[in-house]
Amino acid sequence: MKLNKFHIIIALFLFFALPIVSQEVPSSQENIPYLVTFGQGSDHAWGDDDFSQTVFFSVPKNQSTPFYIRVFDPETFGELDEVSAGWDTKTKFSIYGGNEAYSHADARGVDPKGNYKSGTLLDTKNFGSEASTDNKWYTFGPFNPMQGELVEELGSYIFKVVVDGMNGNDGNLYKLFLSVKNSENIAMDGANAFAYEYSVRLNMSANSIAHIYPFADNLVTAFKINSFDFDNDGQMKLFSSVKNGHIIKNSGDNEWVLSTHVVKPEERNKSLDMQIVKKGDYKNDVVFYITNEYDMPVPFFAAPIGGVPRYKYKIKINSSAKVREK
Amino acid sequence: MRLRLIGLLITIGLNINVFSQNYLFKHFGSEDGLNDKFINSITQCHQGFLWFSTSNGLLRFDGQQFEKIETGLKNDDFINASAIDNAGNLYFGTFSGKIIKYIKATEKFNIVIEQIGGSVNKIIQSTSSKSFYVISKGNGVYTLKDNTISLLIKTSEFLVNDLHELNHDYLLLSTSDGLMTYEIKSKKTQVLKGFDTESGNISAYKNNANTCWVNFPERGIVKLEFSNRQDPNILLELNEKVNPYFKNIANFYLDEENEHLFMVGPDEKLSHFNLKNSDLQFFSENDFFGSANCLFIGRQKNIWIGTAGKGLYRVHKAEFEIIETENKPVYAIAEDVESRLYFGIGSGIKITDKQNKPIEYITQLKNKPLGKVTALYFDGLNMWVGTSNNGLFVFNPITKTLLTPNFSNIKNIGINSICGNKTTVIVTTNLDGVYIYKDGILKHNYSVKNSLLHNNVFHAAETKVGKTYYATHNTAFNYSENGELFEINVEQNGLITDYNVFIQNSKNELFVGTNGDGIYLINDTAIVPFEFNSKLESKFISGLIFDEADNLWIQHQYGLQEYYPQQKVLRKVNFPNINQLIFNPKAHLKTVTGDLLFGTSNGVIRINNHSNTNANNFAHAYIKHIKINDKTRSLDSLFELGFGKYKLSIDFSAIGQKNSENIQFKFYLEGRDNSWCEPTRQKHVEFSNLSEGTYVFYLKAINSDGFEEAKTVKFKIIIEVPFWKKPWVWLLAIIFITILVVMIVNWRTASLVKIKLRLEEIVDNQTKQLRAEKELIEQNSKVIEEQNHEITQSINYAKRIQEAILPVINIEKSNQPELMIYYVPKDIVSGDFYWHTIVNTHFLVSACDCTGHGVPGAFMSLIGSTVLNKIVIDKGKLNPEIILKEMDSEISTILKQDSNEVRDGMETGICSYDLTKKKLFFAGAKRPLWVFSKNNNAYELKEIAANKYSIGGFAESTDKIFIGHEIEINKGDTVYMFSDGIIDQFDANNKKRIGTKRVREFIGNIVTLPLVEQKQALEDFVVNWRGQTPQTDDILVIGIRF
Repeated sequence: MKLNKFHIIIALFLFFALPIVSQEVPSSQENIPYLVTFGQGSDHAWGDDDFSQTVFFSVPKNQSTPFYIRVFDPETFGELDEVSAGWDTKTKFSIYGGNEAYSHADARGVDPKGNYKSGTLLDTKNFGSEASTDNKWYTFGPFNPMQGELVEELGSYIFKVVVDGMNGNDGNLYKLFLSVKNSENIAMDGANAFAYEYSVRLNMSANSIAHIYPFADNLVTAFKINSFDFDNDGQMKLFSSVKNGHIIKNSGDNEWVLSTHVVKPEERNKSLDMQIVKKGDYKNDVVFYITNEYDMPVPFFAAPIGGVPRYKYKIKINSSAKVREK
Repeated sequence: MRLRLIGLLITIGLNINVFSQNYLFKHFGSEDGLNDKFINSITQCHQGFLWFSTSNGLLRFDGQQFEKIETGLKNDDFINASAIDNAGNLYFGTFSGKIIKYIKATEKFNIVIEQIGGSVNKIIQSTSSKSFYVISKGNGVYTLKDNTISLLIKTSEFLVNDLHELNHDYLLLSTSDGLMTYEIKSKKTQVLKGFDTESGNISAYKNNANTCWVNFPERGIVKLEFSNRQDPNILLELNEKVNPYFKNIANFYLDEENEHLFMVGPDEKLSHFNLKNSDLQFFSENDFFGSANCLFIGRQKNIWIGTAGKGLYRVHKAEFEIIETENKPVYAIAEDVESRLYFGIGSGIKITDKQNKPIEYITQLKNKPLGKVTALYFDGLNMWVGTSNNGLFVFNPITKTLLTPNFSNIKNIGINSICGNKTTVIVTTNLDGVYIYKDGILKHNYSVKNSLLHNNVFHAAETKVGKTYYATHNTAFNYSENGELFEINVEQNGLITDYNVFIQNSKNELFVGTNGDGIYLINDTAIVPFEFNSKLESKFISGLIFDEADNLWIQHQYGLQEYYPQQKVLRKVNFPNINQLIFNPKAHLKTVTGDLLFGTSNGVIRINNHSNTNANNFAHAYIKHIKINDKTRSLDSLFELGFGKYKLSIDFSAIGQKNSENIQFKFYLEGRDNSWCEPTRQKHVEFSNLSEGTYVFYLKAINSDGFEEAKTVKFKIIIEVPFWKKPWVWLLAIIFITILVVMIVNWRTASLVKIKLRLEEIVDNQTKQLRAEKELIEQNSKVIEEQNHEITQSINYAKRIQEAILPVINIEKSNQPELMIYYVPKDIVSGDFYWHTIVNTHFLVSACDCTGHGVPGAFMSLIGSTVLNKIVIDKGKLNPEIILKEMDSEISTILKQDSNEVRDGMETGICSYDLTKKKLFFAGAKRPLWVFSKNNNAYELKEIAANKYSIGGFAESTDKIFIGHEIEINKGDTVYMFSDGIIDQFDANNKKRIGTKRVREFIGNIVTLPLVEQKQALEDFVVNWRGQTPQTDDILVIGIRF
């Protein structure tokens, strides 16, 4: 595995920022209600560019008790999910660990290409339109932390959840949770979750603000923010300690739009806050991913590394004022 | 489909009973040596070790200790799956996809397969036993044969959870997409219709490959029969309709032998479903364990549950359980045709169903109170009830109708026991002997009136040879045969007073339990004491019963003991946590399932049919470490060591999964010990100072019930004999020594010869030299002899001269004193001399002792005599002190002592007697005068001291003052002067001088004698004194008698 300073920084943050407790994906801090994955037969214009979603969970190396990966509403059925023309969609949830689950380059891509299902398949399950799991949590596991891929630089075992839309054309809305119990969601101390691409359902209410927290390593000079099918439903802005709401270009219906932003030295080794301010009060499924200037995907964490960034206002004191004081 | 429907109907019609557990849990965690909380697989090798794979390595468990076994795997890999082949080799599949093999013979690991492409989740031996199926969940199924792996079924879209070989043509795959069959020939996979939901593990019947149980988490556990590959029959389905518990079962295991299913349900709890009676049993909340990764039943019937994150659990069936009777003592037990149990208590009969649930309580029959029920017997149709005071009752347990033969004759007596067969029932009473029921008539058969030994008959037992034995209160007992009563009177030294119970085993051997003397075995001719009588905790036997395995269970007041006749072991049956349990006499029963029930003071003890457990639960000893001289050696059966002293340390343990903490060991070291050591729990032994020889260490384990394993663990140590103790060395040594001795002898002989020759030469030379010297000596001797002769002649001549100068003593006148001179020169000539003269009226006598003797002394005596003559005769000096003074001066002058070193001189005493005046004048130069004055007839000695100067010699003459003495003399007085020669003479031993005192005494003794005789006496005295001792000095004694 080719590791860079990013890993070291992340590891340091993971170590010093303990306890990070956010293994819900999407997290409450992100204010995104659900991930969404459509069936292979659906139109991309519904808001899913590749019908696949990959999420990584990091489990502290010293974790010695079993854990579970829980999926809320894993089937494609019921009020929560997006029906097209009758419930006919199957979604496959697969959990990977072992070597290359994370370190394989394809695993960290933004598209389901190549060996993106790298690693050892630990568990998998197809969910169709059965009502038994509607609006309920389904539990995978237990998993042994050692079944993950040990990334020493991160000080964690990494597990990968791949959600593939199979046949059908409905949209499956769901949430993930890494829990230490199989019957309820109890977060694991020190664990975290991250992804390189998000296919999400935004809050329906107007003016709601969703957050995505991309992490800028110490080498990145630019973020290339890609959004798909935002339908120009509001405004997207980028915040950091030195950015106070840089406007991100909106994407329209069924289109990718690239918006490039310079990352200043003060922003490096920190998370930035990409805010999506919704305008309309209707359903909107959107895809986001961010790359650096070399088109290498940038991870965004469910719990922002280094905390939620706050813009630091600069107060200029000019010389005439000083003279007056005198 | 018809059968499937039947199965469903059966399913729906199941009556699920839930009752308390009779399984015991034991959790193993880090405190027990378990190194991880994740147990991924369990298997048991042929030796009996359990092998647990954890995320932290591989553990081997002998029942007491977990031992981590080094596999050679990297830290980031761990074992997921395990299996064993028929040869006892173990196979382990790892998370990273490796397969390693533990080779039994070498106890080493080999990596068989480096990587199969995914993790190994399961390894299953094929029915052909020649290959294994290897499941990699995400990759498919592989076959492993002869250390070569090949992909059998590639799966990318679903997970394979389990696999079962229906026969050699078909595999049953349990997958995330449902249950499938795989045809090996066509390589086609097909999802079974109606089973397209995720299926979990499969548990199949060993002897019926086409029937198995499959877990469908969303549906339940289904028993399927595959008479048709694609359309299996559902024989039984345990789903949520039967019990909600059956949905979402995580893992299950079929205990085929006992027809039980063990399941881990959605609540992560273990349950146990009895397929025989549809009893579902949950384990209590205290027995919590987490997600079960694996379930395994070992050969010792323990259920092992490896969990994900909660360690390991062992579950085993309790040896016994208690059937509660509300704390009421149970005096009799029976079982009816529907397996209902009847317990005779103090106030009637309690009836329970086969699950031990109380269903009825009978206190009276036909309005007659039962009271204390002491005997129960089910004859196949009716239940016979014997009471302590109210006689006998018989009723039909189904219809509850009371059988009413004419029992009035025994209605008010106590019933001790009831037994029988299909046609006959025998009732023994406490007062009235024996009644026999036959052909609808109860007849009073035997009592003391017709030779029954006692009317109180405790027990009767029908044997298979047609005899019925009666235990009575007597030293003898009766038996009946063909209606006739016989008596057997076996004298046992008067020890037996009561025969309590009889029992016969499957070999028709009859045992009798006595009241106070244990158990006896009865045969046709004799009554033989039970060989373990001495080990019985009590000899008051209240009950005997054989179990299914023909083991004898013995009741007595201290509890229960079990005797294993085959193994010759008697064990105490322990009932932990139950205090003061009293087993009521003859209150026992063997149920149709083989369980034993015992009525006690506090309910009923049910001993589960354990024919497969205790006696077979041997512990197997094994050696863990061998250290020789504190260095660990690899385990081997033979150690060959060089000669020396050795310390042998052995650590051992035993494989035993039942009460392993109570396993004992015995061992002995042949070659050092003479016998086995006493059983001990110690697991370490040391032997020190082992020297040359052959030693064999033997080790055996004894399990907690006292069963000793037949096989013995052993290894041999041969310590080489030191080479110097080997025969050939001795032979060589003897030869060498012989040669050496011969060589030494030869060398010595040669040396002696050489020495002899040299000595001979020396002797010759010396002889020659001696001869020459002898000749020379002879010549010299001759010369000396001649010279000596000449000298002697010369000296003799000198003697004559000296004798010539000595005065002639001739006392002519009567007025002159009488003189006695004892004069013996030491040599020819003498240094002593005497001198005498008469000048005018003075009678002068002197005794002189010159320095030296012999010739020098003679010279001095000539000088002395000459000087005296000169002074006295020539010069007329008569005064002794003047004479001495002048003598001194003359001699000093003659010898020129003032100018040379000559210091010669003389000691002398001079007496001058004035004949006229009769006065004696005396002066002595170092010589005294002894005066014996006559007083009457006695003599009185007076010693006149001499001057301290000698004549001549050292001092200047002018310094010498000689004092004279005037002594009154009377007639007869005798005076003596003498030289020191007589005083210095040594005795015959040459040790003692005569001394002055002795001489004085002697003279005192002879003073009365005439002087002539005194002289002779003195001579005798001196001669006797000195014996052969040579004379030491010249002797001169002068006696003068006045």
